Amino acid sequence: MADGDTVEATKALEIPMLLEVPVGPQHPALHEPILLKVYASGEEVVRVEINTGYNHRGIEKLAEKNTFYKDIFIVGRVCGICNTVHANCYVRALEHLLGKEPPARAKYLRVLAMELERLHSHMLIEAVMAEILGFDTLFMHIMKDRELIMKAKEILTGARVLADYQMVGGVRRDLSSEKIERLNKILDLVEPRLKYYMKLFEEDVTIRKRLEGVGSLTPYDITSHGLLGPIARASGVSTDVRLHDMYEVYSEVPYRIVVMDGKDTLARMMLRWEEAIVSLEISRYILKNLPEGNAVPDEKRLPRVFPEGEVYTAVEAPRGELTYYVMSKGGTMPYRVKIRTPSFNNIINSGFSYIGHTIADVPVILVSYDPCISCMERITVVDFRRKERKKLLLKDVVRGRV
Amino acid sequence: MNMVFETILKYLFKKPLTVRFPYESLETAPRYRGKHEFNIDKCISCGICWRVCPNQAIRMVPAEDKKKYPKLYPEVDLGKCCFCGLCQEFCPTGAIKLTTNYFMSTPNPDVLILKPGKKSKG
Repeated sequence: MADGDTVEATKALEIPMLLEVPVGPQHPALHEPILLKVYASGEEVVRVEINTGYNHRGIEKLAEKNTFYKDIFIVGRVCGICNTVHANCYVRALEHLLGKEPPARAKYLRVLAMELERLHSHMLIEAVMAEILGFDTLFMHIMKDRELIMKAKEILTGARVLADYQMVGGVRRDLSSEKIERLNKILDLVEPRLKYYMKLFEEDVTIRKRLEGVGSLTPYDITSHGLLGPIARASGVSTDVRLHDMYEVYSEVPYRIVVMDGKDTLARMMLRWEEAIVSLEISRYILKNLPEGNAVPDEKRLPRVFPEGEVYTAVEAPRGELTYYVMSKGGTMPYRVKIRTPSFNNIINSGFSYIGHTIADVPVILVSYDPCISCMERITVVDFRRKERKKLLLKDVVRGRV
Repeated sequence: MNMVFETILKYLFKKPLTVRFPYESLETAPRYRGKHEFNIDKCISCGICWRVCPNQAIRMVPAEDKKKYPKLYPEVDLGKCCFCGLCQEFCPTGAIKLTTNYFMSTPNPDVLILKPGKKSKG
């Protein structure tokens, strides 16, 4: 062909061009190991595959091999951020088995620990969202104020993160009047900051532009995919175990359910600020109206052998409804402990919500679901020879039909 | 804009939030659960701490000075410990205690095993 000649194409071969972008498992924007295989056509996301299994530790099996009391500390390690709710759910299951009722003071202290935890968990995810949006200074400021709440938790429970605060029949440490004063001072410091951050998220032009209308979920999506917690409440679905079950003392404290109609990422983040303020109000009420009595049981006199029975308990974790199923066949060890965490529903079922958005929106949407990866690692069998991945019933695994 | 200047001026005359780490460190709450302290003279070798430990971080081993301490005593592996404080609460004589010392990071893993009757280096 001579130079300068042009040939007009008569036929075109169309190849569907899909770009596969792996987001994770190690990714600067995501702070926990999860792999999102994002298939993008141009800039638009057309499909998302969610792969988990990077953090599986076999906690449920471990719980079967240890005594009921050791399991309180093992289930507390399922998740660092929401360890007191895990322990609370399990401890309440044991109390149902034994037919034991903790004293009122212990119930109040448990709720205080759980609400402080919700407060710092919500602040953490807001800070991470600020970092992902590019507001690194805002991240530092929120984390600085979160540190005050961590200090409050340390004063109450004895550790910043892993509280190990609850025991069958009460809590492990009581609260003196001096400590109540210190906690009140900390809450006074944090409250104006929370309101300021809430105003900031509401009014800042950049944050609004980045979050508004991104990752919208209709109430139908929520109910059909079984999404839980703040995600459901931000789409107008009023679901909260604290309201439905009224476990511990939620019937007595000034708890109000926060429901928003925004449906998008911004609504989820605003809802978390609002809930943080509600948690702060509950904590303040508890510190003011703490009943008298002995909250600490004598751990040495607790019964070692548990009666036969099955218990199913639910608790509202910062991320949604957390349930425990504990089965006892008598003796000192549980026969089965089944943990169903909210993140499992929220992350695995939410792949559809990324479709239609740009790649840059993927981390934003994921963070707005508040992923807690160590919570949600449960059983999946991967067959390397046939290259397939399937979910199995536990009885099949036990009988060796894998 | 005023808010920015206000914040800058407010923080200009404040002490920094961080501390100069190797020379000073943050104070812990008195009930903080940190490194163990073991008093071998109080120990009666009942082994309750070894039985209640959820992580099996405690082993019962003979002491170095076998003539003075002929029984088995708890040896704590800080690398396995989850700092729940059960050993302290169940100890009938108060021989094992959790201090507020949280400086336990070390390049030498042998330091993390607290042998009975021996003063720890870290």
